[in-house]
Amino acid sequence: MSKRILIVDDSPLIHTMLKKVLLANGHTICGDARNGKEGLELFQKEQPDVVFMDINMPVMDGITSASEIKKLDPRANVIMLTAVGDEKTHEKVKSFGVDIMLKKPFNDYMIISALSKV
Amino acid sequence: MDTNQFEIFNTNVVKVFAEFLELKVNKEGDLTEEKEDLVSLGISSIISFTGKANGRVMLDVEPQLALLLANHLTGENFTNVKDPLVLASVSELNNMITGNSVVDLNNSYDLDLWLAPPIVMAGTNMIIALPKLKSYSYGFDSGKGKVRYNIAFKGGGIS
Repeated sequence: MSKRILIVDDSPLIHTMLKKVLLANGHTICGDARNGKEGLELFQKEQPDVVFMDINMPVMDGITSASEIKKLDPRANVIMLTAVGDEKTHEKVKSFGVDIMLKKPFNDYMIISALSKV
Repeated sequence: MDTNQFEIFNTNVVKVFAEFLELKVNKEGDLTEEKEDLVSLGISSIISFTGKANGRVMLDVEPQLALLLANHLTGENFTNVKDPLVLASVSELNNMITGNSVVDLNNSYDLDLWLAPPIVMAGTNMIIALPKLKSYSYGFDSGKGKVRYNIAFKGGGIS
């Protein structure tokens, strides 16, 4: 089923790579944000089905942004993306209801697989 | 930090190049202490870290390798190393190598390290100064261009 997706990452490369995979699999991109604050604003405006959220970003990090999104909508589907995917970080995001954390480097299969779980 | 712990960075350079780029990099020589300022290979990405040790790491690659990385990752055909996506490719690669290394270091040595977002610079023969920091480098050859991974730090029980 096609999903409307919001991408929140400060790396233009990650935006390009995710878009390529997601569009090829029939999904649509409803928003591009470069930091957690922009991501939060776009979430409220676009109400996406799924948010791909980086953790380490300027202005507002992804953990803060994702926890605010979950406060606004506890049913929001957020997939965290990070190169620093340690157990402590995973526990932290789980504590506010985000279960999926994709560790970079990821491949196309891992992205589609994560999306099928939400 | 102990220089023996740096082997984790070396392992992750090889691992991330292989997993993310399907490119085998071979280490050239041993870990070397840098006594003088560094001269950039072409594109340099720097990430600061804080925790029980503080410092920064730098991934430095030759321009032709940066182009190859960006072309492989995006499917495009870049020819200008200053294109934002070429710079972002090197930056993201460093983010993955260093992020994975920090997880391994935190798990093994409880260093509580955290990373700042990467910055990236382009310019062949650019001078990179290293004031007040101990600095060590690994050199690699990918067959498509050279790679240097430099670690500069203070604190954390240096030995």
